[in-house]
Amino acid sequence: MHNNSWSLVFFTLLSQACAGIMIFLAATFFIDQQTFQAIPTGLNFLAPDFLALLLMAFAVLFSFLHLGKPLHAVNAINHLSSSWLSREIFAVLIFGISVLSVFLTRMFEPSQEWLIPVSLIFSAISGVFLVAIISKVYLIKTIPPWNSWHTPTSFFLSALILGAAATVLLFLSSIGILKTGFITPTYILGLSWALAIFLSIETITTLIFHAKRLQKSPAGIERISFNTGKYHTLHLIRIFILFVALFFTLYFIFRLPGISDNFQAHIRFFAMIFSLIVIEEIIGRSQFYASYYRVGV
Amino acid sequence: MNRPAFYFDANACSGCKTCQIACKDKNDLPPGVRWRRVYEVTGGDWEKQGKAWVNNIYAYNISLACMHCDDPVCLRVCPTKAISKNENGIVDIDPSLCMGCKYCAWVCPYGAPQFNEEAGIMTKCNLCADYIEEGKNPSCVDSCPMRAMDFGEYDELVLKYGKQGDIYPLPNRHHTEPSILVNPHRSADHVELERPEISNLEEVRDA
Repeated sequence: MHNNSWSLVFFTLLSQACAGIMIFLAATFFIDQQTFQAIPTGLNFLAPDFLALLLMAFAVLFSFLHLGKPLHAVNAINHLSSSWLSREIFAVLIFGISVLSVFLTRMFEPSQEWLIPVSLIFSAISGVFLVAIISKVYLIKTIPPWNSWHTPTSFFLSALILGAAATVLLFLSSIGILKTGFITPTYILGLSWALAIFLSIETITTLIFHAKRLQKSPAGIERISFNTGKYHTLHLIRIFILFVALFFTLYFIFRLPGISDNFQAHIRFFAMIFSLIVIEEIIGRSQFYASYYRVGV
Repeated sequence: MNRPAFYFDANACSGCKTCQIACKDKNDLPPGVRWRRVYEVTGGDWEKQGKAWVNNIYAYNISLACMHCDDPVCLRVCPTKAISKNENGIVDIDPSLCMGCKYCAWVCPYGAPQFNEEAGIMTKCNLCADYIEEGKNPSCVDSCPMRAMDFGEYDELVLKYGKQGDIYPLPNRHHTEPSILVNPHRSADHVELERPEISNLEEVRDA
């Protein structure tokens, strides 16, 4: 992979997953109050905001692994006026603060009830901005494979797919372990349908983008081939996993009404779907970085 | 100087890479870091015409370093403001600010910023700024045994050599407005018909 980009694969995926989790947490507050009230809070791995905080911390750690001189990272927001990378780091800071504010307000339940929806809206909006700014970092004229509609599309889809899948898994696990019974299966069903739709869009856009890319001859001196070798094999594997994950998600949706009978089996089954999605996203993102070539030399 | 620039004559260059070595020597560059690189461009094939086989095989070299562009994309995208353009038009990297994110190396279409593993930061050609202050040329220019390179103010070089065309593998000028004039090799016409190869790709690829 170009420039040892594994740290960036995990930084971008983790931060986008966190943005997705916070978007769905905010959505839950406004759509289904009963479910929202049953979501665990505080230092609990089943609390979406706590999990998002942890994942963001890991994302930042991964971003540091990419740096040659991590101690100089204090200069990273020096160039907000024109550098999208500087803006990205600033957006990570803002998003991190917003997630922390959600975590604290939900944990301490302040008397000012408006603080929770305000912090949730703040985190969802800053999450959307974060994904948009991460996309902009890669929309570079001199790098044709990244300077495409597919970059923001795939980044937003990663946020939505990982966010929806993680939220469904967390909610299912909350039912299973806490046995609260307040998280409504209807809401999980809705989230699962959303996940199935996002997976379908991801599959279609990936296939279209790949087909269009094969029609163009890459610029620059590198002879990257997108229809042979390891890149093509990984593309086929990813598409296969996407189809399998989509099929299993639909199967899960149609079996969900019987959740009260055997929720442990449901959790295990969805954990498998989640694992497939994570593998597919890692392959997709590593392919994104591997597709790098630039104009010129 | 307002806009320091290189002139490169692809017809004169023999591909000896003395410029590359002179640059490494002058700047004491570690293995893998090449602020100046010579690209070996080759192309063409044999074809049967009647009973005879004829060829249109060609080869030429192009020596490239930082172009100290008029609109440097590396400067625009650097998050730390480590890259700046000084009053002499030299685009340089401040090692006390650079965090080694390599973003400048991604975006530069000339492969100019290069990562120094030992220092953990990006480095690039600074036009031998100390030589220029002494009124000398950069070491690569004066080391060339074929006198294929020249150095000076961009406008003066344009007056001296005329506006020259770019050749493969240089990208379109509009990306960064590079400060270089190239006298294209006579074989460069073929490039429009077919895409030649860089035969020493492993050598010149990013460090």
